[in-house]
Amino acid sequence: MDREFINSYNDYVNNGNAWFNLNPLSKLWICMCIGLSAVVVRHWQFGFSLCIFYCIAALIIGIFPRFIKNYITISVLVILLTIVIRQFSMRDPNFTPFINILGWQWYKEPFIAALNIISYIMGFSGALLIYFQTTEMRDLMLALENRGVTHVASYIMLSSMQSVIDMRQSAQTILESQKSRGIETDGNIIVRMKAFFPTLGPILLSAMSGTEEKAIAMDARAFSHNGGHTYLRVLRPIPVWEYICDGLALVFLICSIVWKVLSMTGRV
Amino acid sequence: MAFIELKDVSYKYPYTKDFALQNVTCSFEKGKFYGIIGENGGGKTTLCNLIRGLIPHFYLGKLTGECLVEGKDIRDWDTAELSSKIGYVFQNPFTQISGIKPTVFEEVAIGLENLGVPKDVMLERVAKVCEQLDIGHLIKNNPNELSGGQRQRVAFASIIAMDTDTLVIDEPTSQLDPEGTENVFNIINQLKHSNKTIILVEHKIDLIAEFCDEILVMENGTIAFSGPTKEVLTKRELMDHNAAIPEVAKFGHAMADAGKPLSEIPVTLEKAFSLVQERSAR
Repeated sequence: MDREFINSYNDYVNNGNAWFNLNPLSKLWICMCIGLSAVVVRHWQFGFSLCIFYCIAALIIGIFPRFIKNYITISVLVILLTIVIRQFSMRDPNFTPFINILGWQWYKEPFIAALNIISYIMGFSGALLIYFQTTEMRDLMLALENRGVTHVASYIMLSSMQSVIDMRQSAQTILESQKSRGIETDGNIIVRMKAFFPTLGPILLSAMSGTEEKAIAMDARAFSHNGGHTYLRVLRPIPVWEYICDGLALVFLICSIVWKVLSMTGRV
Repeated sequence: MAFIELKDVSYKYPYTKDFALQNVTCSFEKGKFYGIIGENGGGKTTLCNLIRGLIPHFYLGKLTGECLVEGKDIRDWDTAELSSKIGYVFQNPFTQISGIKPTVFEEVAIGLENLGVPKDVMLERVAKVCEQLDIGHLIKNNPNELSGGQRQRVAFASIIAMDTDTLVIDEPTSQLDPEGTENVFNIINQLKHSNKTIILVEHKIDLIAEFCDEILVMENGTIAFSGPTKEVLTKRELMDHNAAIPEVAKFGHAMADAGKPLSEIPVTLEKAFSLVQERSAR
């Protein structure tokens, strides 16, 4: 048996580096403050600067490949949708012609408006993406439990996420058994849909009965026991510098609010 | 005094016509190892659910008669309190995994976390149980990705780790190979020697015959036979009740029918061997 692995539970949770080891709630606070600043400022230069900042941060904390993959996917969707919608929805004869793509005239003002929207969506989603790519949900739940959230609520949250995975596996099993009975499950989208929709009923029913059995199994593990609860994994106590980081993040958000107010009143 | 006592208990699951248990009267004493056998649908799992308090707390249905645990009616027990007294290993290993723990080690520790066991005790106990159940090599694995047999051992380990006084175990070896089955029975036997009350539902009659102190044979929701293992398993009538009896007991009856009886009907292989030797010597 791996004694080193067992002994690792004697230490505080160690997820690798300083950013990963931040208390999940502190980390959430920092990410939300930075992300919200993009929503407050709503300026493309600020938003895109944040995007670059996220990329550098992802590189430093060691999640760049998966971060950039997801971030680009989100960006492409958001950029295309927003620019197209803005070009169609904003109409004014005084708009400045910008570029012409195969006879489709683009104007500068809707383009800038789209960039502003894109920048705050990307500025906010980048922060969230970094958060969820560097935080295990069980650590977040553990941090919430430490702040008084019941372990029942925590279990419901974590279990719901696992249910999605279980349901996906059930769907796959049902589809494979359909296939083995000679029912066509591969091919064009119509064929796939025809094969998939009838499986929804059994998937939901099995998920429901599984939930009941799981509730009983958890009861056997003293889930509703009223005495004190202990934890195998323990998050490290929050150090002072982490509180300082939280404070700085708040100051950053406040500064962005002040800048926005001043810019709206024409003082900057 | 009996630790668990059932007096004329009948039970019907919600929305069903037939009773799953009918006029069941029996008792379970502390420190004894009970085996429950019988055909499928005979009421074995229902009896376990009742003893553990899932009936009537989870499964509503219609319950009549008295089921007393430590002299207190099961209806008056708080299920949370009962969970720290009676451990229950279920039949289906696939729904016994919590689904929220990423390693087998943490999965086995769930019950102890819920009971508020100190961390150092928890680590020691979980490591010991994992070693006992031969899942030491799996402790870092994701429990959601294990095979049926491995899950069954993990589920069993989690309940054993809780160290309850009584264990209700419903077919713990249904997904295990012969070696795994033997291993589980040896652990159950060790638990018996640490003065735990064990109620085991199992179809592997030869192992039941070897380890159990007493047996209940269930049929159509009633107790067809009950009593000390040897006494029950040597009854000829058992064969008329679709209940499995050990091959060596069948052999003993066949010898008697052939006019060459052994001095008694054996229920274990070891005993059969000595009786045959004794007969040959005569």
